[in-house]
Amino acid sequence: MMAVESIAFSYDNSRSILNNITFSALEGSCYAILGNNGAGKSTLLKCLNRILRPKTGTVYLDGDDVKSLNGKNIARRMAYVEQHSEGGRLTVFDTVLLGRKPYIKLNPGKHDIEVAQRAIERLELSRFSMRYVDELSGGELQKVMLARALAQEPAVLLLDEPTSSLDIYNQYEVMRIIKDIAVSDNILVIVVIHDINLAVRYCDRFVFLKDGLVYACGGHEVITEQNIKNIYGIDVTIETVNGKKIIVPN
Amino acid sequence: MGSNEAIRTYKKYIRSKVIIIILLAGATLLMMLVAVSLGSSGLSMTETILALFGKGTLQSNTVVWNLRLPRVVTAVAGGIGLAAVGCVMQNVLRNPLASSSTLGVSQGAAFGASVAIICLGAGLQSQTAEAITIINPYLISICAFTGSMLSTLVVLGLSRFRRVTPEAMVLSGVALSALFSGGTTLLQYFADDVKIAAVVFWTFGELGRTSWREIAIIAVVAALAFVYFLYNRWNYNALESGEHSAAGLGVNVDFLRLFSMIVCSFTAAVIVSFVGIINFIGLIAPHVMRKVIGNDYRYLLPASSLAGALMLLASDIVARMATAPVILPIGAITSFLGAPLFLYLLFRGVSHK
Repeated sequence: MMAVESIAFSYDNSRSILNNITFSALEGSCYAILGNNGAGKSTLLKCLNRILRPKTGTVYLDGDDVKSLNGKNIARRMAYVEQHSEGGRLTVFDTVLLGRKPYIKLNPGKHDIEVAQRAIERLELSRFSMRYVDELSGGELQKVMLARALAQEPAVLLLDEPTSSLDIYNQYEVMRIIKDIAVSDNILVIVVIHDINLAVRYCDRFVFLKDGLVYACGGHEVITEQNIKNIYGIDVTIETVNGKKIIVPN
Repeated sequence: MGSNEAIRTYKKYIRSKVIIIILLAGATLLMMLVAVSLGSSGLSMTETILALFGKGTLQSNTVVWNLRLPRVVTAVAGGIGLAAVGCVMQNVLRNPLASSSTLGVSQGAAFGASVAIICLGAGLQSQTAEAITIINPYLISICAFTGSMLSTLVVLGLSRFRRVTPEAMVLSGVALSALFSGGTTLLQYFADDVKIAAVVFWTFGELGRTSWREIAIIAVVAALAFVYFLYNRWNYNALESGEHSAAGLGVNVDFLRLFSMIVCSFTAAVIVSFVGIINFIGLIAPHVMRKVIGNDYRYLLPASSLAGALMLLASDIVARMATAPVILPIGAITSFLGAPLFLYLLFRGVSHK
């Protein structure tokens, strides 16, 4: 379980990005962090695993203060996938194997190679495994980065807009995989996402940010026309098609 | 593809990289032997090998051990050091044009050498058609080292006040290079022609200046730097996928960047202060090897280092043999050989896109 208490963050002590963010999240669920541009969603995600150091506040992971853990121990428990990952000229296998970095002392052992291979197979990347990642499409690269995150064997998966540069097929494919990971591996997934329809379809819980504060937090009950209007400033209608909620701008 | 088969394929792929590194090491050893055997005294390969084991004539032993081998070992140690430094700087500064001179190391060294020669009187004793003798080479080396480390210390000093981004580091290096170049120009403006000649001669770069003691210093520093870089190979691999990605994998990016820069600058400063300015090796050796072996620093670091040694050895052979008995400046040869190769790599990359 992750508990976020009173997180505040600002760049260079100037304009405050996050003020007093508090929420908690349970393993086995997929949490969507929603809000308009500049609301501090990506900043919040990076504060959770201390890529960015919050000015105040604490993040607890299963009772441990994340501040008390070193980088390697955080990386063993929390994996992070950037919005626009840079592939570099490494093979898919080596990139996924890099996910074992927090566990590797000098060289990867047999177990590390097997974990990387399992992650590759799970994301159905076997046929690419010897290709350089800078030769892959956006969707394939995103899957490689997800496989790398899985190779970290984390308890928490932090994903920053994993579908932002993908076509509609890959958007749904990646979100389906993310949802599947959360449920079958009992991992807490926290995903920053702009597409509210994708969020509603695949996530269980929602954290709306506005002006650096948590505006609303909860299950599907917080997805209301009024909340969306208050946060994004747009009138929408929420309809139900084939048993699934769809948000349509008016 | 089955799981075991996939792992076998991966191990085979790794073996191919190791083979490339072994071949490069073999080529470097061979090139060393060729470099030791070539020269105006006309030693045969057999005489050279006998002399290497101390079983040659007095003359061949002297030529090999006192004249040629120091030069060749300097080229190997310097080439390894400069290429490893370039390879790591390109990674930590996220800039493909980074090399040992990025933080103003070369210009700082030139300024330090100018101060030693012009202000402290370590300049020319005599200048004949065959040789230029410098009164106090140690003073020049110490001043060159101080000059080249000054720029690094300035950048590190700045980092105490705010977080230094790679862009800020590169731009600081550009500014400091300009500052040192200006300082050198001013010193030269007020110097007499003999001292100016000594400064220009020093900046040419020369592998034959080093004694065994200086070679030992270069070799130990280059070896320690290489070990430190290799120890961090997984961190450099992580940094290839971006700063935040690397931080998410547990890398302390700021510390890695700063400490790597200190090691890089120190290593480059030691090499440059003993052999003068040698361009392009640190830039081009890693780029050539990136094309051959990829960006995996487990293999790129040793491959680039060996390629650096190989290139510097080849350049030195050209410098010694092209207009023998006159030895051409090594810095000019590395630029002459390096620049076209660099352009070829650049435009081959463009045409592929």
